[in-house]
Amino acid sequence: MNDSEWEQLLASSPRDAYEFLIEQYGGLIYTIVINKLGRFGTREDVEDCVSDIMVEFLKNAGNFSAVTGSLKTYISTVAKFRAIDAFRRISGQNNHYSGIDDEEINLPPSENNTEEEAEKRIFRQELWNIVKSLGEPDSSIIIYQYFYNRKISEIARILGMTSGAVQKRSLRARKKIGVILENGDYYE
Amino acid sequence: MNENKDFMEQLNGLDDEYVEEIAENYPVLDENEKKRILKQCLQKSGLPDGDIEVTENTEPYEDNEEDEISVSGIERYDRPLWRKYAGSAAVLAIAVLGIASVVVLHGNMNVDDFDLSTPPVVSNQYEEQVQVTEIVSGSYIDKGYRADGFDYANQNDYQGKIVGAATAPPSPEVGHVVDEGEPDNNGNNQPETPSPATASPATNPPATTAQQTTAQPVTTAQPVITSTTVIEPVSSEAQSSFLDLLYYVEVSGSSEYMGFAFRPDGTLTKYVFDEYGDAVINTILETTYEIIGNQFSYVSPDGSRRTGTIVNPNDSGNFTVKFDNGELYNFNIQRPDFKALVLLEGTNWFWNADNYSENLEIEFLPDGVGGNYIIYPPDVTTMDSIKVPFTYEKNGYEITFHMEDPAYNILKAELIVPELSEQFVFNVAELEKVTLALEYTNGSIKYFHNGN
Repeated sequence: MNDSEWEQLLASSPRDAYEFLIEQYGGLIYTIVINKLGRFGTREDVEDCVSDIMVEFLKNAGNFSAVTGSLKTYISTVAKFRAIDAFRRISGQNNHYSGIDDEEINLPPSENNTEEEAEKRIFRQELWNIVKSLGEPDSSIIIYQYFYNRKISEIARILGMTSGAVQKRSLRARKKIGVILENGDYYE
Repeated sequence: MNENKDFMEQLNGLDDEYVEEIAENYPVLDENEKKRILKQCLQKSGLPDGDIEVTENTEPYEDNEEDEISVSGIERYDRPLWRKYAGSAAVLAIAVLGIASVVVLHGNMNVDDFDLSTPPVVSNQYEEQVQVTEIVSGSYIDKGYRADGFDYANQNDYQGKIVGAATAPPSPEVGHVVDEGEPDNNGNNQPETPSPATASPATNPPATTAQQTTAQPVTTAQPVITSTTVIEPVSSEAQSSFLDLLYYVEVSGSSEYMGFAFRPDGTLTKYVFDEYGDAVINTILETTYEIIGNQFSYVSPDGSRRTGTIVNPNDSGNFTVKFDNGELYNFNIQRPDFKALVLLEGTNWFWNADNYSENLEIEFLPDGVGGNYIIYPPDVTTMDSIKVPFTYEKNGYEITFHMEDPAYNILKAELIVPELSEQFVFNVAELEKVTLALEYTNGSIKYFHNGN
């Protein structure tokens, strides 16, 4: 979408613009938000944050220019910052302060936490690679269950499987991941 | 929460490149969620949103394993008194019928009915191509044979039958069933004063026979659950998810939870909760047995083994086993001519074989019925060398196996029953008596078909 198309869409109907954003980038924004919030937020928190991002983006739509960057990149950047804000807000409300990215978000890296964060990062990368290596449908099951926090019944519906099959595969997949991690050398 | 779950939570917080990959390959927003977000956007922008109809999210966002694992909120089940008496009457009737059947059939049965010496026919079409394939259903009988030996049919009144394990023989080794337990401090029901011994349905042979009444005293330990406490039924929340019944069971000093789900098609699935209590294994009730000639070996779920001799097999699949300790138990396998076949609505049946992790498992996917039933041929580790289709024929029935997808080790078997005119409907317990089994070991595949 170029600048003129985007301006035309904005001018014609804000609602159409929202629908376009949700359809095109809703999934990406949702994923960015949940990646930051993790299990700190409820599903409502995530949806609320996603809608906040959409509204903010549309309010400042004039700042975006397709000439200088893609809409996807722009809205992703907005999403990341707003997700971090949401994480701070929610973790503060919940009086929780030990989360996925707290060092990244709040603390300047010292020698100690830099090393720890690096290890966590490596671990997450390794975990992600293992999850991907499971093959389908197990990769999807794990991602929907643990990244998106979806219930078994929802996953079964999404993947067209029975709940029992999802549960069984999830169990096996987790055990397999555990074994791989146990025997792995991802810290090295 | 367990360690397993903890490290899985680390999936959140991934680097941006992975996040984009997830968003692209694992879309999550459904139409209703999109509408909810749109509605929020419009509201926050002061725009009208009245025409957007959304369903509020009622799914709890966190702890999505709770419906798998939780035993909190368990409600006490007060079984009506009349049901106890009705159950007892039904048990008595079944026992009488069993005894009568044994008596009537005793003279007509011959061990030869279970003669497994005739090898099955393997189609020539693939015989040469499948050089590594050996199909055996003759005298060699593998523990892939499975029978639960229990009748879980007619589950409309399942609570009484399951709880009472009505068809199980009384035994001093068998533990106790407590219909109700008092909640402990944590709100969980705990075993109460034991009632008269009753075996667990999951681990005991079925109805005793007339001979059993004269059986020798028990001299060997039975591979049975030593104590069974019914906590059941589970909370309405868990029931609405997938479980209908939940049991707390002690087995040789350790404990586990067993859940049961009754499917719309009348089948029963058993779930055993793992050591973390947060996951389930869809094992379906099953017991392993072997038949070599007239020698019978019964392997309980805990791995212990009992042996015996078939004393009165018959052509209806009923037979009695006299165990080495003198006990006699009735078993039932469906009709010997095609007792391994599950015939339902005259359609095809499919088996998906998957050696995903530990053992090759064969998954029943009954066409037109929905759901799936899984059996686990033991000691199978890989199916790598199954490269081409092969066909098994017996009694006019044909089962074709082929590797559906080598990447996922999906071995598919299709059973065609062309002339079926009767309709047979089996529940899960009977499915467990279906003794199709595949074993793949060291480059050969063996297909076991009970009694043929």
